[in-house]
This record gives sequence, C-alpha cells and structure tokens, in this order.
Amino acid sequence: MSKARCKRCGKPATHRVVFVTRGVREEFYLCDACFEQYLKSRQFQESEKFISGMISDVIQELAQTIPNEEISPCPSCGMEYEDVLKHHSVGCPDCYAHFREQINLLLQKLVPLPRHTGSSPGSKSILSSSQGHLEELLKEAIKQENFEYAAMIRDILNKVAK
Amino acid sequence: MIQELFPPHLPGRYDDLDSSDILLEYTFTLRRNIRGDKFPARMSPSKRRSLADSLAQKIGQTHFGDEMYSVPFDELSPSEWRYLVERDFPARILSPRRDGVAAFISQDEKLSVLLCSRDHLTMKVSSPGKSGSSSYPRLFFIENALKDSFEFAFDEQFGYLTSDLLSCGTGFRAGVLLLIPGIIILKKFDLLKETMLRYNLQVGIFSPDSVLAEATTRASLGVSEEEIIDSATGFAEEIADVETRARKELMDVLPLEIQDRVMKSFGLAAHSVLISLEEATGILNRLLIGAVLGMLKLDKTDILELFYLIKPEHIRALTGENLPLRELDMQRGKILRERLTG
Repeated sequence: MSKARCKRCGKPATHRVVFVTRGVREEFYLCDACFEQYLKSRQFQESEKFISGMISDVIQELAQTIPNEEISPCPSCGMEYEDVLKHHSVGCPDCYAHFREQINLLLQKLVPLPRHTGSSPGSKSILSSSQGHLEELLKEAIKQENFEYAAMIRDILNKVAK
Repeated sequence: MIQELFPPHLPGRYDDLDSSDILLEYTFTLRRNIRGDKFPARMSPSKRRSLADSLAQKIGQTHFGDEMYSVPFDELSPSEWRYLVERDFPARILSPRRDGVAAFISQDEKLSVLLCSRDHLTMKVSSPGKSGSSSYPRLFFIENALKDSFEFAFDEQFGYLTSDLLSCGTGFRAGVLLLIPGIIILKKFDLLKETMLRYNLQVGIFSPDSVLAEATTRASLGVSEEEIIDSATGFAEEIADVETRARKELMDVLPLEIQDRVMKSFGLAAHSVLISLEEATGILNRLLIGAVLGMLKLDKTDILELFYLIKPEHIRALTGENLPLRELDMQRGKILRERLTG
C-alpha cells in the first residue's frame, strides 16, 4: 500500500478499492481525501442502493406486479405463492420449477447475477481447486495425529495433482 | 447429558488463535437437500426423523462420523436444549423446530452437521484466526461422502436448491467474526459499510455496546464458491487494515471517558457480589476493549470464554446445581471475580 498512488490525484494511497461485479474484478487505490469523495460518489451510492435494497421492499413491489390469486399453489407440496413472498422461502425443490418466473424476478432484484455459476453435481468439486488449503489441512491433521483424515486429504490431493 | 459431551469451558475454541487481535474466526456453511423430498418445514415430524436417521447412518459410516457426537434434538431436556442454544453452536443456523431434527457435532464443536432443520443438511465449520479460511474443504469432504448415496436437488438456473431463496446457487456461505473496537469507538461506519458493500457482505454487530461484528456473504447465487471465499477473506483483510489504523489513532488520543469506563468496569467485575447477565455482558464488552487496547493485562480469549460461562445454563453446569435466579447472579459474580482477579 505504501508504494501505491491515488488513482485520482497521484498522492500516496491509503485505501485499496476492489470491485467484483459480475465476475469482473476492478481494483484501484485512493488517498484519504479522494476516498472521502468516492464515498459520496455515484458509483458508491448506486451500489449501496442496489445491495441495501430491503428485501421487504422488493417483495412488496413484486406482490403488486403479480397478483397472488393468479398463481396456483405448488402441486408437490401445496406451498402458496403468498407464503413464498412472505418468508422468501419455498416448500420443496419442485417449487423452484413451479414458481420459476416469480423467483427469477425476485432474485433479479436481490442478487447481482441470478444464475448459478458455481460447481454442479456433474462438474469438478471445489476441492480440485483448493490445493493450497488442502495442504494446510493435511499439515494440521498430521500435527493432530489424525491419520485417517490425513489419508483422506492426501487422496484428494493426489487426484488434484493428476 | 449434553453438558458432559460439551463441557462449559470451550475446548480449544480459540486455542489456535494466532497473534491476530482482529480476525477471530472464519465460519463456512454448506446447505444441501435431497432430490424428491419436501423441505423439512413441509415434512411431518416422523418423515423428518426418518430422513435424518438415514442421513445420520450414512454420515456415521464416514470418517467424520467417528469424530462427531450424534445429538437428536427431540431427546434433549429443556435444560440441555437451552445449554446448546447458549452455546451458540446452533443459534446462527437453528430453526425453532426440534421434532425430528438432529445434529452431528464434533468434540471441539468446530464442525457440525444439522439434519432436517431448515434444509436437509446444513454443514458448518468454524476455525479461529487467519488460517481458519482454509477450513472449508471439510464441508465438501462430507458432501463427497454423501454424493454416492443421495442425489442432491439441483437446477441449472438456480443451482443447489434450498428452502431459503437467498441460499440457493452454491448453497455455500462464508462468514468472519471480527473484533473491531477501533472502528466502532471512532464510528468509522461509513468505511465498514463501503467495504461490506463492495465485497457483497452483510455485517451485524452483536449489541449496541459490543465491539464484536459478524460479517457473512450475502449471495450464494451467481457467484462461485471461490468468489465467496475470496469475498470473505478480502473483506476480513481490508477491515483488519482499517481496524489497525483505527486502533493506532485511538491510542494516540485515547479519550479519558473510555479509559474511565473500562477501569470502572474492571472494578465492578472484580468486586461485585450479585451481577445480572445483562450487566456482566456489558462489563465484558468494556473489558475486551481494555484488553485489546492494552489498558488491562487480560487475555482476550479468557474474556471471550467468559461470555459463555456467565450464561444461566453454563453456570448451572459449572456448579452442578439447578440454581434459581438470585443464586445465578451470585455465582456469576464469583466466576467474574475468580477469573479476572485470580
């Protein structure tokens, strides 16, 4: 941080600002004065508005857009749409398919990217990209003489290495 | 008795805490549900119990089953239940429902698997200090061990399906427990908020006079597991920098009022005969400030442990007696006097 310069005025930087938006990482440095300005800036205000948008406000807005009586309960578990909105929870995995359109609308307002991007049942486990962390765990398991656990970690590490 | 499985003194909860005075603990949670079954809230207690039994049987056959205790919640007495809730182990992921709900909890309480609570499986691992960020693979080991026997509910768009809409996607969350007296006393909340928003976390401070804050990742959908881990660690590192600067700033101009409050609290803790839980909690918060800022020669881990030891069921477990309220206040005073001045 000591060598970094403020992106706006070139003075020595005291704050590192990192944004990760939809998978794209942006990083820059600011000094105290510019950081104060930045806190009042549009970029910050907009992200604040977006993230701190109260769930209840979003739900109320959604409830007004889609009248509840038009949507039938989930055929698998009987969950009513009104209860989905009230508790932002569902009754069974099939609710996601039954209320897909409404859940999609709701999540669009609550998360930056309402589409799954992580691991899936058929894909490689996150363990395959955790080599460094696995090595830490292996050291700890050996230190604690937990050899069965250590063998399990080593087994995964061997698979990762292949 | 649950109190015998998990004695009041926290076994090694903060033992591995490195020199960090700021980053106390990382917590990771992974939720999974079985395809074709309703979520626990929509199941009958007998169906929950039956599913919890079959999941428990499979977990019991894994390496993790050997190192964890099986705890069926509906077999606990009211006192055991209150003890577990005070313990805070399940509090953050617990639903009020107990019928047919069970848990596996490791002896050191760092690893737990909650069965048929809000979701069929809620796996949680907590680990102290900076190195705690590498503890999450344990959750995926358990997931791996169950994969061959159970098919998890999954959707291409919404990822792993969970009862709470905000947990679908990876079903994975990361959290961090921070000790931030500098930020709180100097009211640097804008900085805290800005950092929290950038990393997409939510932050909660335990009570108005607390200097402990818990931050957890907000979204599980649209972000990968790696991004979730990076968010929590990035946030923790950045806040640790801010807090270090804030503490320095605070030490330069340490207001007399703060010193006064800390020292008076120490006096109260060292000499009180009767003390309520609320008053004792406030005192411990101020002692924590004193320990961290070097005003008192107290170990912060002792104070953190005392937050648990002063709770009613913990005092009852320590004394082995079902004490009434007034006796609890007396014992609480005794515990504080002995631990802080002994």
